[in-house]
Amino acid sequence: MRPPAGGQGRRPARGRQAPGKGQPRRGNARPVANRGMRLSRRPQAHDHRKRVVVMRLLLIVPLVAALLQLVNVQGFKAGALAELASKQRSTEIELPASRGSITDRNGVQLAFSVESRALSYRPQAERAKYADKPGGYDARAAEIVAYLKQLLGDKVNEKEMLDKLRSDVTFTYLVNNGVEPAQARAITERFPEVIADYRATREYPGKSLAANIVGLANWRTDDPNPHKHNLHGLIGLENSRDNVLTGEPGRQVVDTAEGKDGVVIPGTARELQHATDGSDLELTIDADLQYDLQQRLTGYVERSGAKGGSAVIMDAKTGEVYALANDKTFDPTAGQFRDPKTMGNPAVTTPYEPGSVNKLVTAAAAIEAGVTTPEAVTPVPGTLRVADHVMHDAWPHGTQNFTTAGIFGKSSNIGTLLMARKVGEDRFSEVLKKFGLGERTGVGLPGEAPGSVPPRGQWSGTTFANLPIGQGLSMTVLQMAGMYQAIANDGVRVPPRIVRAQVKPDGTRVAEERPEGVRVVTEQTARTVRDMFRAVVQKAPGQNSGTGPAAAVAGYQISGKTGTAQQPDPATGRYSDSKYWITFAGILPADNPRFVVGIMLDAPNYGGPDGRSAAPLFHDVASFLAQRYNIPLSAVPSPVVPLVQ
Amino acid sequence: MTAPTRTRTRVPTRVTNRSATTIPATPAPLEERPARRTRSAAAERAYAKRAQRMGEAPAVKAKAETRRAGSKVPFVVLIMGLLAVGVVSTLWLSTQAVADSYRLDQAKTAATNLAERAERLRREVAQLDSAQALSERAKAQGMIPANDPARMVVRPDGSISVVGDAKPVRPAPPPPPPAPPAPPEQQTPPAQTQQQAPPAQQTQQQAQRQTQRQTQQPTQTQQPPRQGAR
Repeated sequence: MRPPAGGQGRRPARGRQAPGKGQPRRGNARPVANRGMRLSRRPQAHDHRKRVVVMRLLLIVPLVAALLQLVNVQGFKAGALAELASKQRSTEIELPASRGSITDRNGVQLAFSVESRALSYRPQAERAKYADKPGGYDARAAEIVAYLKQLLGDKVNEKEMLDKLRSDVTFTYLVNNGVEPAQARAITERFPEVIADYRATREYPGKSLAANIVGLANWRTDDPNPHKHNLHGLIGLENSRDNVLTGEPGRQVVDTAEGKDGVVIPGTARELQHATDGSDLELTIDADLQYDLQQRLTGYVERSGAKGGSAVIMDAKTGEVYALANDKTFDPTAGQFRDPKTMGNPAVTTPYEPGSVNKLVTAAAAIEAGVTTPEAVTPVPGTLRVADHVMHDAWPHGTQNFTTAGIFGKSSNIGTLLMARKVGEDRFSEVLKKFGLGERTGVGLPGEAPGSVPPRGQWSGTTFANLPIGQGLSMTVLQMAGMYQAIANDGVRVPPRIVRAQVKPDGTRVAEERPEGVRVVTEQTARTVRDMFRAVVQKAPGQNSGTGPAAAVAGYQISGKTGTAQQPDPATGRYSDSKYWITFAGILPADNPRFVVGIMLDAPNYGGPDGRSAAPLFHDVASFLAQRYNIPLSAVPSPVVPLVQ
Repeated sequence: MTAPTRTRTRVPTRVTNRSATTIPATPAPLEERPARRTRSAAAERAYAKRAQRMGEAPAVKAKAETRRAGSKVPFVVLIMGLLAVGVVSTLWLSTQAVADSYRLDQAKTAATNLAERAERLRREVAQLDSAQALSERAKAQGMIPANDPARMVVRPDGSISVVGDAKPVRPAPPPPPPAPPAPPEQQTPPAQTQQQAPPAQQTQQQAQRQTQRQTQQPTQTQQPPRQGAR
């Protein structure tokens, strides 16, 4: 096939060459042939030749020029020109990724994001437009403010906004955030000079509900690249789990007809980077229970005149935190007027000395070691000398015969120390460690404190007189509840967790890793200790009442322990005689544990009616828990046991 | 480019076939065509001879030529038609695409508006559904958090025992708005709280959860001995 094509190609080529060479010959030949007849035409023939050359030039020169330009445009300038063209018609569209929500264990939303707009303005540029109309700009500004006020209501401070509009700056934000997109559209349609920027607003429908846990996220503009402006967590889980909650914004380039905001030409979307939404966080919190605990704790702290307080409700089997409250909380929706002191989470960040609540360790160690039984009777003197200190009980008494249940039920310091001596320092120290004291629980909240337990090697003479009764060591309310959880869970301590799962944008649910349980004491020991600590809430005639009968809930066996720990006084360098940590930790119900509740009040008015014990608050919380979770009544009431003989 | 070359090469073949019909060495595929053509050529020759005899030979040749030329015309028309149809349909499709893109844009705007509305409503629901909002509205309707309920336990033999001591809640003392209930000191008719609860259930469906918390609802085997409160 090629040879014929080549032949064809050659033939015209020859033809093209032919006129160039042949022309003069033919030009000569003709006049020769017609010399005699056409003398007058000679100049014309000359003209013709000229014309042909001129015409040829006229044709060839533009053709060559066109060819050169073609090569130039298609070859050398191609890239730059294509770029210019695409710039003219293509528009980049930001595909924002929405921040994941935070829900409670029942799917109640604690925090979620909504799209919104910020309104801004360029006062200088707009004022320049009204240069020839005096007063025109101010009238327009007033018009804008009036319309914004009408549309947005309380978000607009008329005077402030008018000042902003009339100020002599290049750029100012009128409304920083929280304008609904539909409202923003209405505004920009009516006043095209108002600029609406994409924002996302974090909504906290429960306001102060679980605010210390969830924390706060807000719109950040600190990154120099405006594409990276996004919602980011400031405190709490919003901050510590920011990378999970924040998605990956995407980008899309499309061609548009009629300018930048025109109609998108179908099929031109490209350079697609899909926006990946953030994952949702599912907490173990129960929003209703959390609200109730916050309300009750705040109320009780107020009535007891305490400086502060924390409380936690944990699942007895799984260690899941159902509610974690501080007396002081904040409203994340309240704008700028927040007290930073209320924004922390002292329940996990601030350890305290637990006091008698820690006698659980002594009791568990004593039962585990087999040095005593709940019914065993020990003569307890009124005072006990340990090293250079003389210890005594909270109430004066002579030598009395306490049962072991009585020692803990009536919270006798001396009895407890006698028990601890029987156990021995090493065994006690080991059990203390197994209860998870002095190490972080890993609950999943930021800033968790490990508390402190003096290392075994650094114990002084009085250390072993303090630790068994809960002084000289510190723990958070979570760790305190964790100890009782171990006893409630038949001796296996499951470190508490507050984040249950992540829900990916595609709906897959990724459960958080469950911690391994730690066997603290045997099942039998745990049951014995649990039953023995029912004596604390026992109300019986004579000296047989425990220290916290107010914690009892009718129909349920309650096992728990009251605690009163002296606070160190920095002024004297000794333990204070007026400032206490009042604690309570309890198990509901003791015969079939469902929940563990830990309460701490910081320096309540010890002389007041509610300042001596946290037991009444435990009662209220436990009563509500029993109702909310329909906890079956205990088959039999707690048996009344003799405490003092 | 290739098409004309092929026709040009084929024409001579035909000529050779016509001139040398009896060559046996032609390959198999070509044999069939020559066979048909030999027949037609033979017939043609026969016709030609007859026509020669009758003096009409040039007419037949002209007719065949016109037929050959005429046979190309429909093909060209077909191609032109196809081109025209192609151009028209391309125009029509692109017009449709543009029109559709406008419709798509409108639909997208509508979808955005609806999504925004749904989002706004969801936000409102979440806000009204929160424990705090419910609690505030319950308080506004005069509801008071209940204190300890009493429970009735039905034994296997059918006898009933009451566990706990149910006391009506005293209306909140006005000065300090109490979060947890103040301990009841004085009995108020239970009707008071009960009268307030039903309208709440009717008017505020969402307040139901709260109502359950506020008033002592029966739970499983546990009955509120409200009427028989002593």
